[in-house]
Amino acid sequence: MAASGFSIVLIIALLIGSVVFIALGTLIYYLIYRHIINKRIANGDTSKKGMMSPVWMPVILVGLQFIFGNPLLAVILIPFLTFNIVGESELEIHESEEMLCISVEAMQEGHLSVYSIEENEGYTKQQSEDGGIRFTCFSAQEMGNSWQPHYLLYTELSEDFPNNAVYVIEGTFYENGEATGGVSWYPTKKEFPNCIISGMPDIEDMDCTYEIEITCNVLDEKEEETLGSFSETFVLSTAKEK
Amino acid sequence: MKIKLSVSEERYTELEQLLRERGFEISDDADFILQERSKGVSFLNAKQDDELFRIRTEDIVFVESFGKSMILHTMDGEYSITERLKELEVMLDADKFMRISNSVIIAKNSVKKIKPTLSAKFILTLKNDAVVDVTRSYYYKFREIYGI
Repeated sequence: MAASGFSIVLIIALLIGSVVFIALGTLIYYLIYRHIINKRIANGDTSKKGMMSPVWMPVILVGLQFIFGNPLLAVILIPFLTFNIVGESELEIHESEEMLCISVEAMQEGHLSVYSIEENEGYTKQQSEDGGIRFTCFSAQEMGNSWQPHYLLYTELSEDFPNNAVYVIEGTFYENGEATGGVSWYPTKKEFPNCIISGMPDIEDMDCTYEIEITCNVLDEKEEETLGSFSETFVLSTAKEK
Repeated sequence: MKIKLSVSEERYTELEQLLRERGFEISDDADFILQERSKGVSFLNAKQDDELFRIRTEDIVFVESFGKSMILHTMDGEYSITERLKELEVMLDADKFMRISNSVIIAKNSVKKIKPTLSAKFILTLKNDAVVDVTRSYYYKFREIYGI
């Protein structure tokens, strides 16, 4: 799947811009043409070469639009419009490096493409399944450089998971048993069936037991009724014995 | 025998006398027309309220076909004539008149304003403020003649 694409808004803007350009250009030429021919009539000057009829102006402008106009409009408009990156999560994404939530497809296109949802060397794999959702958690055995995610949490929805259900996932980080922060995300099967959560928690003391407790509530489409819930704790790192 | 004369003014009187001497009756509703070949006639016979007028061709603004009637327009008013447009095309000086549609012939110097359209037509305002259309069939010829 492509990593990026133009939004429908840009396409509409280009179409409207094209129509405006062609209409305006035709109108301006028409007014100039009318002025010149009436001036010739008033002066009785019929010796000059005839001008191009305004009928042809839209045809010429359409051609110019395709060659020059559309690329120019795109260059002008793109900075003002939002790109809709396929796979970019509409879930709560933390701006810090603590958590990034993206689709599997986006993971395979971006900087996480070196990682797999099956096995990752240097990571401990843990799995838990309940309520139509399977969690696969990879936690780093050793803290590497600052770009290496400390954990990758992969969520999969089963095929028989209700299409219109919303599930609310909350994660709470525990450092040596003490809660240090939390994250939450709300994927649906229709919009975002499987996602990867990766994170590099801001841990001051790397020599600690770090866990993430996942609580998942499955709600109906209106988010009024809870269809199911479960909770699971994944150990991300373990304090070393001193 | 009745004959209609379509000749220049200079020749009209001479020919009229000549024909009358030979027993011909000069009448506008004659079946036969004696027409001068060269540069077109100098006047046309026209009627207004049952009164006959001789209209100089240089006073003509435009002529239009209106159903079975032929209306001649000048700055002073409208007159009815008997000639059809096809006949007028031959009779009138082609340097001074042109046909702009299936139903209108204008004097070339009577155009006051031109309004082009996007559909290969012109809308003309003539010097008597009448508005007539140059239709698609006569569009390119009109442009060529007027140099527009």
